[in-house]
Amino acid sequence: MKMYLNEETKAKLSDSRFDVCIVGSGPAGITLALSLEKLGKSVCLLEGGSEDFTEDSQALYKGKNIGDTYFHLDRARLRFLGGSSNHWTGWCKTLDDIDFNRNYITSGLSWPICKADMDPWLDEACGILGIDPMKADSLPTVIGSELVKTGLVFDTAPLRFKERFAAELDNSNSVTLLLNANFKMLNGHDGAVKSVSAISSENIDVIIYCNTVVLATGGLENSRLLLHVSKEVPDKFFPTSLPIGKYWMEHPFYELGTIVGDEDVLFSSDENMAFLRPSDEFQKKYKIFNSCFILQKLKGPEFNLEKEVKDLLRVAPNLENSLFKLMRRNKLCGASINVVWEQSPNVESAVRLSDEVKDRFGIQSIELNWRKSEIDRETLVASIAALCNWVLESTSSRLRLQDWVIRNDPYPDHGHIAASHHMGGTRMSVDETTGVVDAELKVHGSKNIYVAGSSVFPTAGWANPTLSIVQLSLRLASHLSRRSSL
Amino acid sequence: MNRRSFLQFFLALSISPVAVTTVVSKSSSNLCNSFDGWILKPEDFQ
Repeated sequence: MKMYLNEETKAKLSDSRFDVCIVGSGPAGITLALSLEKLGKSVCLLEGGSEDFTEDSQALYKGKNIGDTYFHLDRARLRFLGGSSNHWTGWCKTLDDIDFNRNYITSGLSWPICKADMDPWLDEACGILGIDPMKADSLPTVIGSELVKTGLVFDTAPLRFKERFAAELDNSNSVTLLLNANFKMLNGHDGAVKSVSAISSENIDVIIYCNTVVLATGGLENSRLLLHVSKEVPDKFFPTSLPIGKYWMEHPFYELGTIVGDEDVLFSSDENMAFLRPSDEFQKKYKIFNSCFILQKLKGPEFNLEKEVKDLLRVAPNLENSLFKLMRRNKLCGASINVVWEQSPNVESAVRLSDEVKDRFGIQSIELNWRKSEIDRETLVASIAALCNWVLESTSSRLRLQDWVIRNDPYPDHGHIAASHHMGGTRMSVDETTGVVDAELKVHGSKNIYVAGSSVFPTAGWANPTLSIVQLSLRLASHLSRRSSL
Repeated sequence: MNRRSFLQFFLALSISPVAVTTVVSKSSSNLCNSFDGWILKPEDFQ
């Protein structure tokens, strides 16, 4: 059932006890809640916002960037029912096998689980998202020793969790969706949470009694709330030494240049986009992380193919015949090249609490120190080298890179910058020195605090994270349903 | 990358950077000035 936190609902909830209290109703929280319902568990799903966007709720996401150029923190995410699924693009892809194991770079970077541990939830996750699992988990096509073409679901209307699941949540007998309920604090002792305190925008307090709590508030707020708890009640639920907020990652996302050449080689039939990434062997050989080049056909008035070809022939006159042949076959095309890539987990890249600014409920705001490191640039440059090599050796196409790439200049501070994928900060790890949650997503040292969402990613791969978030939430639901204490 | 340039890193990879090798040997200026950002094979312009 759905209810707003007010005096009336507060009284109703005072005698209730839930198997699980989930904080946050984005893709992770809603997936987890509805999955737990099917597994016979009672759930209280807390959402700080309303059913729709409000400025007051969104303002609680304000924070400060103190690192690399980044978006305003109240713009790259949404704070109402459905969370950031209300504005995502819908692109989906599973993580690659190699993403789970970066031991070829250095030890301590790998996931404590592997792709096979997430595969059992692929079909169900794809069913929730309304996408084809065969396409979302398709094997790459080898197009050279250094580059592969990879699949990606990008042509499906993005699922808005609010629109798809609001009625189901409202009709549920096992899930109580409590809107206008802002997280305030965990209550309990000796590592065990007994209840969650929440507060409404009208300052009405409520205590939700539960056997287990799951934070599912997104890739920035999960860190923020755990840091808040750690500061207010140090060592009560988990060690203060946990690296909460650290190893925060984005997917850097930049425009690289253009490519002119053979449409049939660059694109599959009838597709306007192609996705290329360095092969596993290439990544291992040069000890780099994953990346993906996004080629998109350029058409219309914004792109002058004739001028681009003239520019190319001015410096490469011997290409005239091959380009002319393509033109006669109507196969000469231009495409933009964008790149999105995986950052190295960096302890300095972190979410932390502001010493100066608190929100209206007294929780310190975020200071985000997003940092790209030297190995991130190496991943970019080596990946570009693989792309250049493939284009030169295997195609009659030629590419043109932007000045900042050629000159190895600093990253541009305009354009895409990043993909708005917030990952890490409560990373999954075997031990509590390099991560915050264990392989089952339980906070190290706690008895019943779990985290859902991309904040648990130890490394980021190149793929859009939503499908993996949903898979991990289903896996967590399965784990929680088997816990005897529930 | 210890301030290595894109071209130096490209060369260090030893992945048949024919165009870049040619560019570097032909000109002390950078690739951008020589070829306006285009990545080319030697036979494209020789």
